[in-house]
Amino acid sequence: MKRNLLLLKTIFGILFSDFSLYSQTNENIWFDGFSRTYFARDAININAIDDTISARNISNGYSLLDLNTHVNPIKDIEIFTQLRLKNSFGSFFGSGTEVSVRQLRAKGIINNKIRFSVGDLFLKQSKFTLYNYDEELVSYENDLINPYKDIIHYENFYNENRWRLQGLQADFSYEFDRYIRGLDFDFFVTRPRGSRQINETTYSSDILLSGGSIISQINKQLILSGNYINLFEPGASGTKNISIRNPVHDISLLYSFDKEKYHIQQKLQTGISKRFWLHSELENEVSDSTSSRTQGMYFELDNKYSKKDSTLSLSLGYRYVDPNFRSAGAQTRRLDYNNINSIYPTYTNMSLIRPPSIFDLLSDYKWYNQDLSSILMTFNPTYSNVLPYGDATPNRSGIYINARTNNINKQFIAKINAGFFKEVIGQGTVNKRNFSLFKGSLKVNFDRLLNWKKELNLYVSSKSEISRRKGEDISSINLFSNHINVSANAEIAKKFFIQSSYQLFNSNGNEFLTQRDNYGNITYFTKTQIDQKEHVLSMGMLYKFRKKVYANLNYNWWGMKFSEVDYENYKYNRLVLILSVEL
Amino acid sequence: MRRSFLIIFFMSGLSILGQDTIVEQKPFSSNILSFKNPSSSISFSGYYRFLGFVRNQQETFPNNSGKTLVISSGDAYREPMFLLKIIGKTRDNINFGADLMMNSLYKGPSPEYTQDLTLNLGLNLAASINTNNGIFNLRAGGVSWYRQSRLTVWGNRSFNRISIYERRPQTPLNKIPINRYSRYYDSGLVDQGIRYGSRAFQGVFLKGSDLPFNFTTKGVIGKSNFNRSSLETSDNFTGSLQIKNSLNNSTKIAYNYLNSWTDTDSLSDKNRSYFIHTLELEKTWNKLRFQMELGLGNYHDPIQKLGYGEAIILNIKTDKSSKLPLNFQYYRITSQFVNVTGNFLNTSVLEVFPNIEGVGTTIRTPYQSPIVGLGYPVNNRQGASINADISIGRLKLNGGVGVFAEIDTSYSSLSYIHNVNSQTLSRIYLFAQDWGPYNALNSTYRGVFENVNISDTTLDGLANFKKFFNTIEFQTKYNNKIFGKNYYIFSLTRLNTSQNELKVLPQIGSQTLISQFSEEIDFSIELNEKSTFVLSYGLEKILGNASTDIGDSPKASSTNTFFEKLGLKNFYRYSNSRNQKNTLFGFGFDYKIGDNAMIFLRCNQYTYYDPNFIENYLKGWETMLELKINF
Repeated sequence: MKRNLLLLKTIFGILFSDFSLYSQTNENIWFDGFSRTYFARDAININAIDDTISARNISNGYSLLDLNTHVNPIKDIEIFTQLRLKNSFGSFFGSGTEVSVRQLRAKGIINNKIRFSVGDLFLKQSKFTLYNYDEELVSYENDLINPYKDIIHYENFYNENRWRLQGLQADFSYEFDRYIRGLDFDFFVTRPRGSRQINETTYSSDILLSGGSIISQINKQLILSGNYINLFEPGASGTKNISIRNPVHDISLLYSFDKEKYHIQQKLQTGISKRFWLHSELENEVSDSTSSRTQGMYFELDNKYSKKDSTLSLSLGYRYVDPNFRSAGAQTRRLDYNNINSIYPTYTNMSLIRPPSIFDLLSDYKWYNQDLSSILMTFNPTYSNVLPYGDATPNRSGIYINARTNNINKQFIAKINAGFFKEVIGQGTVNKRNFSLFKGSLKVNFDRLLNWKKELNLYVSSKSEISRRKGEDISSINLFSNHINVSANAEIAKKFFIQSSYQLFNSNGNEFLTQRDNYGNITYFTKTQIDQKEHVLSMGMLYKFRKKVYANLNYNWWGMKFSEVDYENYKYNRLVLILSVEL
Repeated sequence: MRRSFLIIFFMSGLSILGQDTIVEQKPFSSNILSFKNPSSSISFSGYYRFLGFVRNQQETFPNNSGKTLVISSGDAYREPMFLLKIIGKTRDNINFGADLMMNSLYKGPSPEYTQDLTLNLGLNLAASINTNNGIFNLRAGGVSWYRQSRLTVWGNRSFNRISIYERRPQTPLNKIPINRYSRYYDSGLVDQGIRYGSRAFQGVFLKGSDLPFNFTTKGVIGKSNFNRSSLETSDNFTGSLQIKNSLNNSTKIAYNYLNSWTDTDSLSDKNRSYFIHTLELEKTWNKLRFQMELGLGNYHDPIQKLGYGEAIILNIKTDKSSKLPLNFQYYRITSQFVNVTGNFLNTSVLEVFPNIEGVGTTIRTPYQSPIVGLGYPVNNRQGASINADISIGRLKLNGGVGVFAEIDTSYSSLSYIHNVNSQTLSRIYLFAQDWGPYNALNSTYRGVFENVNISDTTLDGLANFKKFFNTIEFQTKYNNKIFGKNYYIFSLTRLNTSQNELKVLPQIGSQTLISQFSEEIDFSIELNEKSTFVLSYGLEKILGNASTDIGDSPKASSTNTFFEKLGLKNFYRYSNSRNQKNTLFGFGFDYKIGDNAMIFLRCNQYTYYDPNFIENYLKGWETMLELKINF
């Protein structure tokens, strides 16, 4: 009830104050936001599944409006709130309505010197301290899947690889005319999770995340930066006497220089992490102690070459991440396999839990996570086994190469990413896994090739992951997965496109799934045999007002085929309409 | 000393920063940087509407809880006390809108009475796309109000012969109070808001105008408020499409299509569906306008397949500038022609009304051979009516007469919508079905209809005869001045009857299954520019014959006590069947307290009485104080 009252007050305060805005007396309040209409109808392909107990079809939809209100009560101060109004499809006259405050923030500049933000923050540091890595499977250019990707990112606040956190942040900088050019400082304190009542007498502790950065531009070519971040629990904020500490320090040196036709950048970075659980305020005046203590480091050398006419970009590097390197801010995954499918969570007449397919992972935003995790989250080796935690994946050592090239008119755009990594130590055996990653894509812009005014393009990509471990039969591993994506877009009238795409995912081999306890320690390896094929065929149409403003209607045929007897094959169809408007 | 130097050093740096860094450069920040990028425009409108309500029941139904006095605030029919409409337009000319509804019960500060913030209708997104081949408007979301053709999608709209004593929340405020009555006198129209004459839909709407060869098109796919399933995710949709062509300035032709389908079993492909194809023709000759819609419909569900049925609505009317404006209507809609979103009542298939708790009752219309006024077509029925307007000085007369017949025999029952006290009765038990001591009353949105059983049935339980319906409506409007102030008198007389024989005119007597007579007189006078005094009197008499329900009173009652007292035996009879008498006497004030702000007071005494159904007796007072402020 208090929440409703607060909502009312907020809305009254904000909206009534707007009248002065709208009468054009000042520009102290301004609006932007986002609106979306979504409708999806899913249907079982009954010829492919022996399932007579699930509904033949399921439809749902909604309209939502996220109204962002920016209030500038004084110069250099802004109060921001995002109010969500959501209405379910099929609910009439107020039923199925959701009104909520989605974001609330104040920011400004103190005394024209220190920039600060309080409330909802979107924070990022280095790739090994605080970084929200892209989820697997979505790095493809596929305009039929992009609307889903937009929803996943928007609903989960994935914004430029930042984590959405709530707290306080401040930064300021200095400029110098000798010795060094500038010095930037940045600090934040946030609370990724508040204290919660577990039962009548037990409360969990708050989890706090604090950090700071110092960046120094030594000269035109050299930047030295250092980051510190710490995820910790103040024990007194809960009733448990065990609390985590996970400080990470890193330092990097960036050297760049320009020539007439190209630009070269070299980055050397390294860091160390600690993680342990502190046992404090113990009974019988037992002194504080720690447990599950780990300490690790990482090292990376990255060399980037890029032509100034943007026709070629090439980066080559070496990375080493210690098996015990732990950084909650950089190793938390977006995809959380503890979730279940939203559509048809069970299938077959035995009501089996339906294993997720690439279509589920590409289209369902509820699979994704917004909370920082203090331990390594589980991952599915089928979809991502080489770098499941991004560049910060522990226990990896190897080289990588990323290249991008296009001709001057961008008729052809090609990308190649490859990586060859090896485990630093073996898991459960002395033998180490070897990993190979190959990803290539080619986009052909036929409209540029043929001098057409309307767009016509074809995009083809392929990604393969190979994981191998030699040794005895019982511990050897050989897993191969491949994801092929083909998509075509044809603009048949101004801004109006016909689209089609096909995705094929194959995975076969064997792996071990790692089970960990609450403190991240490995407790068991479960051998898993994988042999599955997945497909997503999509056809649709798109009217594109501009980027992030479009109407998309498409039909998807998708399914999964297993060779293993543990699972039943399935096929489903979906009709989806998404009208997305960035206000 | 070193520390002092460091402080000075850093402070001097900060001052440089203040001048240059934050404003012009972008130093490292772990946080995201945002830039001012406002939407093109957002505006707000809406209203505050307080409705204070007191009802004191002097006579109640026997199953009343014992509570006879009701004091409440807010409109019981889920209407906003505070409506805030957000209307915006992006730089891509995409319109978006939402309407927030905020209510308060004013029942004390206890948190249990706090009302949730909610949406009145919903959210809408609308975009307009201009091309060389036409302008296309795409709208998504809803609720949106949609209208297409009378047989496909059209809100209930008749001849505007109503008493305007009672107000509706959507009724706009006039510049001065008396204008509400002067407009009704002048044009016969009362603005009931955009929803009037349209149907509520959610979904995707597409409209194409300025298309080649004078074509226009519009359509919707989504849900009307009748598309409600107990399993929300099951298929339950309506799609509708119109393609229209203007052959010339006086001739228009249109094709309409509607399809509504509902899964009856989520585990199979069984569904209930109906579809309609219609052709519309509109032609104007000088002072004569001809409108016709001709359709073919088909209904099926897992149990019955009704097959194809035809429908026609024909309307010929003369121009209003004629000496005697006439309007002739003919319609024939077969029982196979099923639709719940058109401008006719469905009476042949009960299952198309949603049967979900809390939903079905709010939108179910009378379906058991309803006795309705002119301008309300019904399926499984055909008939004609003629309406005319005439002005004699300040006296304006309009009226109509109609005769209608069922095409096939139907339910062994009838239903009639109360003309007097309809809102009052519906407020006693909101959106309830089969209530009252005899389970005959049904409350809808601001109205009540009552079911009547017929005893003369076939073995199948249907009526043993076709029912025939006659209607006469007559309205007089008069305006003059007294002491320099305008006053208006509106009188509305309606007589509806149903019998088992075809008759040209309504019948009153023992051969008539049900006869419903009502007289409503409204008087309004301008006290000054800011205030108007209103009076209303309503009388409704409903009589049934021996083939309808028999009351529980052991003694037959006279159908007209006045003539009984005078001893005019030809004008009354004794009956044990329905012998209802409803009366309403009300007075009120309309007062303007400022621009876009008015107060309305209504005080009514009502009675609902039937001497043969001894428990059908209601009597009491209602007082309503409405404050409405638009912005």
